[in-house]
Amino acid sequence: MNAPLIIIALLQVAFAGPAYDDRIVQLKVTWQTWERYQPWSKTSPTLRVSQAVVVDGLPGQGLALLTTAQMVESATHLRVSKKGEPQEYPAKVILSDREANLAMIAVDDPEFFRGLTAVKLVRKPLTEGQVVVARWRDNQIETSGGSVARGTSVESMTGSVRYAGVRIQTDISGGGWAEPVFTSRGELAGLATSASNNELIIMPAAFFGDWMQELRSSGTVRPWPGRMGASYQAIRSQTLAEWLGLEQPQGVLVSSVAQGSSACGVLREGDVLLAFAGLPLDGSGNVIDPDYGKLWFGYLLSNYHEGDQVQLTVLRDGAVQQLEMTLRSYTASSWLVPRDRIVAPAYLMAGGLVFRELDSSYGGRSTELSILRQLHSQAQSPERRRVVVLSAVLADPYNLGYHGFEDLPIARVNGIEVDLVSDVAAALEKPLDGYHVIELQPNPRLNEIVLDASTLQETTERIAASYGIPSVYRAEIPAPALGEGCGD
Amino acid sequence: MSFVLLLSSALCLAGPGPDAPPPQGLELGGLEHSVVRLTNTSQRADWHIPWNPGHPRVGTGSGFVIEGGRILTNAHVVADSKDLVLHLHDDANPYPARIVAIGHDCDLALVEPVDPTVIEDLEPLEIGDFPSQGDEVLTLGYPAGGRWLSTTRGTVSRIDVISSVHSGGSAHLAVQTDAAINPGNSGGPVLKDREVVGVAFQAAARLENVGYFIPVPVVEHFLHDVEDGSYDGFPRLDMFVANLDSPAARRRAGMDKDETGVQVDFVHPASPAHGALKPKDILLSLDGEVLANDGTFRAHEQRLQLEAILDRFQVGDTVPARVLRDGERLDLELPVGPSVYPDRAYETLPTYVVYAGLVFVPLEREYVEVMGISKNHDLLWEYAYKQLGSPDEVVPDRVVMLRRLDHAVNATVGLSANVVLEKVNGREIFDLQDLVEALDDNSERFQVFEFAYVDHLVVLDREAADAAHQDILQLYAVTPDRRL
Repeated sequence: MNAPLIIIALLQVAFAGPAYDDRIVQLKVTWQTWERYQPWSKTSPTLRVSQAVVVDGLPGQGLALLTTAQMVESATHLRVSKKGEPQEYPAKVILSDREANLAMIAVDDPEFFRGLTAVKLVRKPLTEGQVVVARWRDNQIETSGGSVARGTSVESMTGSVRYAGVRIQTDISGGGWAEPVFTSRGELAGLATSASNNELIIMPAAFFGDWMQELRSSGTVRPWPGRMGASYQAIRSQTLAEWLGLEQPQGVLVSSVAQGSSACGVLREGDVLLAFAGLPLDGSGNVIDPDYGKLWFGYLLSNYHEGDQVQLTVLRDGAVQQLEMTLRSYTASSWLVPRDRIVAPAYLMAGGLVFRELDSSYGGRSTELSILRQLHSQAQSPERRRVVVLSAVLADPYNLGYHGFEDLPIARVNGIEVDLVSDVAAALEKPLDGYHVIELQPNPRLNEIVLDASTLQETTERIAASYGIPSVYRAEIPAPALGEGCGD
Repeated sequence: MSFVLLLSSALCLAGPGPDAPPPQGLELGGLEHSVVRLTNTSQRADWHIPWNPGHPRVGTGSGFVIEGGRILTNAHVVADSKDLVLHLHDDANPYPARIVAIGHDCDLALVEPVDPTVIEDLEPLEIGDFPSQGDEVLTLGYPAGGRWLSTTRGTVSRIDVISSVHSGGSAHLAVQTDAAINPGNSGGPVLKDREVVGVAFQAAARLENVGYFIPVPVVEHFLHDVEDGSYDGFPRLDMFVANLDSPAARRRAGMDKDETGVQVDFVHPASPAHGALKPKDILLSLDGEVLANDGTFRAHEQRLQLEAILDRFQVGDTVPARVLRDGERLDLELPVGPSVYPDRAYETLPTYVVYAGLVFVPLEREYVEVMGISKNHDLLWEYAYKQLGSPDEVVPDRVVMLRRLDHAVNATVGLSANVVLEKVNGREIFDLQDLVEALDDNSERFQVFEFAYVDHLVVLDREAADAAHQDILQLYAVTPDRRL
């Protein structure tokens, strides 16, 4: 009768042995973000429990912890524990690189790292074979087997850096919380960034190994180029290829170039991008990665940083040309509707009208915003650096007639074009004959809002007090300079 | 709009629906003989597959005899008709009938038997007046596919301006009643004291005892309109106005304390009133009716939307208006025409051009409705919003690629459906005729299509495309290859 029990106990030792608990720690992050519709308030604080791996820290500072930037996003407090022990140690972020989705964490108490050892990274690409996914659950290390499925070109969950990721088939449930993935030899192969069904997508150690190396040697990481800033059409048809002057489908057709991006002033609409850094693009825009095979070429940008130069080969006006592109930082935060921002949103409440800078986290329920996001989300220009929306109207006798209007993009305030919240604030200093006139972007509901300028300030104060708004204005973080136009 | 159902019931069974016994003890004194049943076989094209003529459907509705040997009914009872049959009360014979006039915007139609003697002995119903709230009314008709006349009694519960489901847009004066109005009642008379006070036309789908009838002013407008043998429809100003509930906005506009009105935000540049009526005008009154700050006026002892004022006029009339503009009060005569914003189309077939398997259609209302473009923001912008940003110039029509009929000649072009065509062979395309000419006039090796918003080029080898064209038509059973 006792025999089966013994076998189970043995199996547990075999599978859940102490092999990983000196390299993985539990990370608890209290986080809080800004309310979308009441941008002066923060949301209810929430606890996020995940893991970090032990790595070598900055020179002379001993060990540190590595996890994805997602895990420390919007953090208000961090603490770590090890080996399933109840004691928690305060931790702090050394660097959270949202573009690359990586974060390095320090723990000041040297006691914490006693008994822990830095993981060894696999620097060669993970292209096949078995792996082990490990994580903390109920003060125990839990492991699952997995096998490498294929390489994939993935965009960072928190930014715009694209890198060669790896898809892992595994039966772990609810993954994607920075679970480390080890080779059968116990070396760190990557960190899980997302999961669906029986698949984990991991960021390979080859990518973050370079990142850590740069961080250790210079104390920081140079800005990423983000996206190149061009949009492309695939060339899959032989006829299109011939029309373009190619013998067969290859390369991608440049259909637009965004101002302020790396491609601006280098690529032109109508160019065929034939090769990136000497690697030829097929008609779908894929290159042959020596390790992972066919991947969308955008991931090659992760080999570079701002200021680096890349050789592009294009077909322009019937001739093959070599172009030198100097990479600029054109990241998700520099788009017209910035993506996934964690910064406190810029807003202004005046007379009950809540103006807010539009970003992708805002949501917004109006058709006008949906159109704007789809059609123009990246088309930043010097005249239109950001979009200001009338987010809501806090009902008050002062703004009677405009109750219930929400999510409408603003065109002008007192005759002045506005594209930043600070423009709205400045324009409200210049009323028109005693009135404030807020003109909206074309919509079928309302063209303009008229407010009495003489009582605006006292009304704003009264509404702020009544609705419990501690501060009525938060200016925006200046957007990066766009530079010259892209030319032809 | 979506909560209202059409009442014309489609028959699912061959032959007539469930028979109800003839009503007993009806005190109508013979009026019931003038209420008729109409069986319409309609065929509506499928805008998804524009060359398909569509499935024939059979539906029934009601109607009633009026002066001049004609029968008044709803437009939706006889729309898209291929064959129309008339049945009389207490008469088992079917009689062929035909449409005299049809007004889709107000959902009214006139029909007559092919043989006029069929109804010559029937007493025409008298058209009465506008009822008041609380009045008792009687509806007559043939609901639920029944062969025998049904009557229901109720009261006038509300007067409102509502949009008809059939038109898919136009809003007109309508009267709500709790008299049961069910599918098949459509087109039947609503009587008060033996006189017609309206034509039953629709009901609220998720509410009980909420039926609507078209009141006399709308009926008379229609009858007057068709007197000259053609139907012009109800005139519209095609403007957007904003409420002026804001005291600050009223003061800034220079309105007196006791003055009320609405602010004109936009007048469609194709509207005859464009130029006469300008954005930022404060519209104080229309046809002498003072407008409140929410755009309503007083009528029938309550408040109604201003569309009900326009319903008093015919296309080509001018509507007296008083506006406040730059501090001056002006009396204007606003010319009015048929609405620029089209109602749903009936008795028409979709226009399209198929070229080498690429199917092109105009970006028009039926397409927009069938495709449900509310999630396709490129098309929504192009169709609905672009004009709002262009107050003085009509935004040109556009052609869209509806779908692709896959074939070796086109399967690798990268686009498949619902994209706005901008240029063909360098020529800007506004309608299907432009497209045909741009394709036909080209003798180069390639046909080059440029699509807007998606920034996509489609290039076909002209000779290969021309050669594949007939094969594709045959393979996908497309005939003909165009309808312009």
